[in-house]
Amino acid sequence: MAQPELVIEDLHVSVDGKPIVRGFSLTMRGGEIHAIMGPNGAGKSTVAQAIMGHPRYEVTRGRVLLNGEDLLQLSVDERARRGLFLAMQYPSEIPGVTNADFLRAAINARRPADSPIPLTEFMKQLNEALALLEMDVKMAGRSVNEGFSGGEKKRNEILQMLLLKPTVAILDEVDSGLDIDALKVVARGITHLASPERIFLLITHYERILQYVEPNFVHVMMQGRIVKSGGPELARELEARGYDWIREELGITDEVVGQEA
Amino acid sequence: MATELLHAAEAEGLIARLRALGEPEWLLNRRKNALARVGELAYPHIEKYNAANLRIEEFSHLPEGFGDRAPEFAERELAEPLSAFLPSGAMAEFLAADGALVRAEIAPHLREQGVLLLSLREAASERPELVEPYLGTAVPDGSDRLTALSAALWQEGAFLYVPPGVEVAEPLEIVWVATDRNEGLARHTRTLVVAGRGSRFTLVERRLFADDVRVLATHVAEVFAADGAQVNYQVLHVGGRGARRFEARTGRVGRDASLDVREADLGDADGAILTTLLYDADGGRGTIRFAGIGSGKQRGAYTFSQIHRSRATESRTLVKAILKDEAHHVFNAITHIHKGAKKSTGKQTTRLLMLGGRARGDANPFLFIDDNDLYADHAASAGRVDDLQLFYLMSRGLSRAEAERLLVLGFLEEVLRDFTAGELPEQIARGVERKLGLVPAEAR
Repeated sequence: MAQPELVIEDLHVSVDGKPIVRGFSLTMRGGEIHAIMGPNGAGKSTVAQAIMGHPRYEVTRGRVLLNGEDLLQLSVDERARRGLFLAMQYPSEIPGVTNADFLRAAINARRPADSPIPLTEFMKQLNEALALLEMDVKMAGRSVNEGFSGGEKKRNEILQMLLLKPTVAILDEVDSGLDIDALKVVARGITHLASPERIFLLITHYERILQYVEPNFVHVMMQGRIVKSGGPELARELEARGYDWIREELGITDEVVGQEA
Repeated sequence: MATELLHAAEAEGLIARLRALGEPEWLLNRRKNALARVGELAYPHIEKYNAANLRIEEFSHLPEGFGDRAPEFAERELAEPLSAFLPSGAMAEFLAADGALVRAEIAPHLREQGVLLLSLREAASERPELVEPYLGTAVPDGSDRLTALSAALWQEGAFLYVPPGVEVAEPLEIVWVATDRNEGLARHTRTLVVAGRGSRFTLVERRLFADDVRVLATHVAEVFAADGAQVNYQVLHVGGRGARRFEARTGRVGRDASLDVREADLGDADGAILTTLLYDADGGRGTIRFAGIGSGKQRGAYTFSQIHRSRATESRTLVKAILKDEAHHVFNAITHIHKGAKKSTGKQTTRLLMLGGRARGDANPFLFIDDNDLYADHAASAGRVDDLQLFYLMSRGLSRAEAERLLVLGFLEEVLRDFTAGELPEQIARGVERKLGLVPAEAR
């Protein structure tokens, strides 16, 4: 498989007619782990949701090219089947649909109609992923995210990622609300999947998760776009000094561009 | 003759015919009394539904062969998909086609325990002591025009008796089939269930109707759960596009008895279904759990009533329904706790899910509380498929159709998981897929 490339070009996104993302550009390649950091309201989650195709987010300008194909021209499910995955900050609850049924349906959606994954193979993969994430096997039989704690929801997102093996994995604040043990487990899931065939984009407030998943690149978002990029040391600097020095450096007085969903 | 449905001569001829077939005088008298009242009684009052729309006068109420055994019936001749919803290998099975008995069979070990499953007309003449005190008392013959019609002109009935203390592990089956040979006819049938003190069993009743036949089907089912009995009553409706129906199911719950009604309406008929549980003795418990799907241009009304008249009785009603296309259904959930029914609990929940902009469902909760020192609540909602849930599922690669399929099956699952008898879970799953026009994942 050729090394994948995701190119986000001059992305502008509005929510309810209000511009949130204003000229976000970033190029990522297989084997790279990128982290986007920034204060609340900078537009970080909006970028992620818009790339995935959330109905509330309107892309008003720009392109998102995965191996040269503009994902923005595709439906949500087509984007997913091209290899895009978004681990969500607030995943939906789906009552009455078990995790196992959902995951099997999602895996089969990526396979030819006449070649669904054999049940034994599916169960093998599922059990391995559950073990890696230290999740109770009973989670497979529970309704998707229903009654899950915050930490269980985050693990469940990573579980899906492990089984779906995306080309581009965007993780939207999977670290928020996790204790240190859960954080390590989530990080284990990410590093387990990291490979030259995969691109990771981590969206986070804190440097904490980056202690366990070392990014190649760290980007700071303010005012709906990337204002500063660097290596993993930038994350440590942000943790130590906060964001004010960047505001001062760049002359930014109000980095909030809208209510972040 | 006080009804426009039959001429006097026809009515007299019917009574004479049934007398010749061995029907006892007490039952014939009931029929005559009910027949005399059909014309004078009003249609049943159903909230937000006009039962007169059934237009019973448009049908012939004396089909040829009234009261005869079924001349011939082969399951394999049933129109698709009805044959897929028949039971297989039941220990006790009553099957009637087009209002005529096909067979009533019961395994020897059940017969030895005194379990009876047979034609109601046969039971009325052979075991009147088990029939007469009950028939027409839970759903009184003269309640309204339609119950009187049923009392007067029921063609065939199923009678189930489980003696005191007898526990039956296997589901007992009652099957009503309406083939495509009913154009313009009315078919009136009944079920009577007498559960002895402390008995315990599961009854499955299937209402399987051929499509595109203009038939009027009324069905009255009465279930009597004596003190300490535990009755699980599962009802399945399939087919019947073009049919009109009126069904009234009422259970009387004895002291410390339980009666759990599970109903899946995957049918296509228009009309009304009334489900009622009566708690006339202390400590009775009951649940009504209903899952239904309205499609096409179906028009229907469902009323679920929990009537508490004794202390420390407990009821729970859960209604989950999906409306699609241009279907319009009304769902009335009634909890009535009468004076004297202290320490009772009545809970009801109605959830409707609309698919498409032209489907309509009305959820009408009613609480009538005549005493204090009790607990009652209700919840009702009607909504559409959640865009965020759809987005979430599609973001994992599922097509919109597959995502909707999972969502609607998940919506009904809370009720459907309670259908546990024999092959019923798989049959219901197939019926849901068929009714919703969904393609099962394994068939894609």
